[in-house]
Amino acid sequence: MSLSDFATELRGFTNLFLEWFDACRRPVAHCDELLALASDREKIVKSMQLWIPAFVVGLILQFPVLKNAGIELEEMGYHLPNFLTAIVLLMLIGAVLHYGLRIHGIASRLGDIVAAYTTLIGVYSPLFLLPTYPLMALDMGALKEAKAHSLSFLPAMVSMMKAGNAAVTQGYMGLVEVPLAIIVWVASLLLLTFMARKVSVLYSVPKSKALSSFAFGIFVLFPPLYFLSGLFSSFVLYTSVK
Amino acid sequence: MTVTFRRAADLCIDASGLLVAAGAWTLMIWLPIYLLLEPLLQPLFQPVVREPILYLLAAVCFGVLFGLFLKWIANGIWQRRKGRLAIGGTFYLFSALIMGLGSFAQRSHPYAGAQAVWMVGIPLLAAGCLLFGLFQKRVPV
Repeated sequence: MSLSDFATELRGFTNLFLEWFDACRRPVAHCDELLALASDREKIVKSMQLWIPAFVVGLILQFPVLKNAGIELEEMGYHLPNFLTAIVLLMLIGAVLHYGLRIHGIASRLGDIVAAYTTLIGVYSPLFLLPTYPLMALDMGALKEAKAHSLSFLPAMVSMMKAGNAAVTQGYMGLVEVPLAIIVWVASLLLLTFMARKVSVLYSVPKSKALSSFAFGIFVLFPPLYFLSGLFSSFVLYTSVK
Repeated sequence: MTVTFRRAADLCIDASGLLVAAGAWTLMIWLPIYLLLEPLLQPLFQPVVREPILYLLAAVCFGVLFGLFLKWIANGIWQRRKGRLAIGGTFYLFSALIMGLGSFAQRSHPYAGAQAVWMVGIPLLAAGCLLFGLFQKRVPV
């Protein structure tokens, strides 16, 4: 790559970063903007366009760890399924919240929920990724070692989880990783609450009803889907680590 | 007290209620599923330990009833009902106490139990939020 190519790439990335930064800086304004759109399809398309810079920023943050595990930028066998999982997960969260609201008798629209989730929570995903960095590096190292020992998928996953668990419960990692994970967890809970309150205003329903349906969606409908998508992304990771 | 602080505190109280509701739904849906599937999954594990079905049913009933109680508490928290805010706050304080005592039992080497010590912070924070909620106005249903 020549210097001018590199400069062009950097300019492109700067634009992407600014787009993401603006989305993080004014989440409510972006949310209102998307909610004002006419059709559901338009809302979902615009949400995805807003979320892609967040995904790219997250990917760039992950690069050093991925490179250490032998996954390069050109490794489309990892990046494409990873992108697909992330985008499906985003839609699934929107869908479970939407059905949670529907089950509670609130006439929600999928486009509204995906738009609100993307602008109020989804755009912050790279920030949530940062605190998991040390554990992710450790997990990747453990997975690489498991593959070097020619372990098949499930034993390799068990070995990776054991290594991560041992580091958190018995090693110094617990002192760093656990408070960081708690901060991320509390921040996501607060953002989810904020979104539920926004939805209650949007559909003119009591706050308690919106919050209850969100709890139902996230803690009842979502876990099996999250498990399946986690299994898929773990398999992709297993096949890509060298 | 500034408006921003009041709004942030309000959000934290609702989030604490969401945490209670999460526990409620878990007890009402996932615990029965897990307990009722256990007799089917038991033959997969060694050694096979079979609990009497009556114990499982009693556990399911207790779980569902306690889940309903937690759901009622969560609704009260979101509507800023003083009694349920106080019960929720006390519940979190007890959880923090139990988790704190549990972490002492794990202290066999310098880093052991670090996870549990930090985890105590969540119920303590939630308890603080709910006790703060006692000074807020009731939200009309």
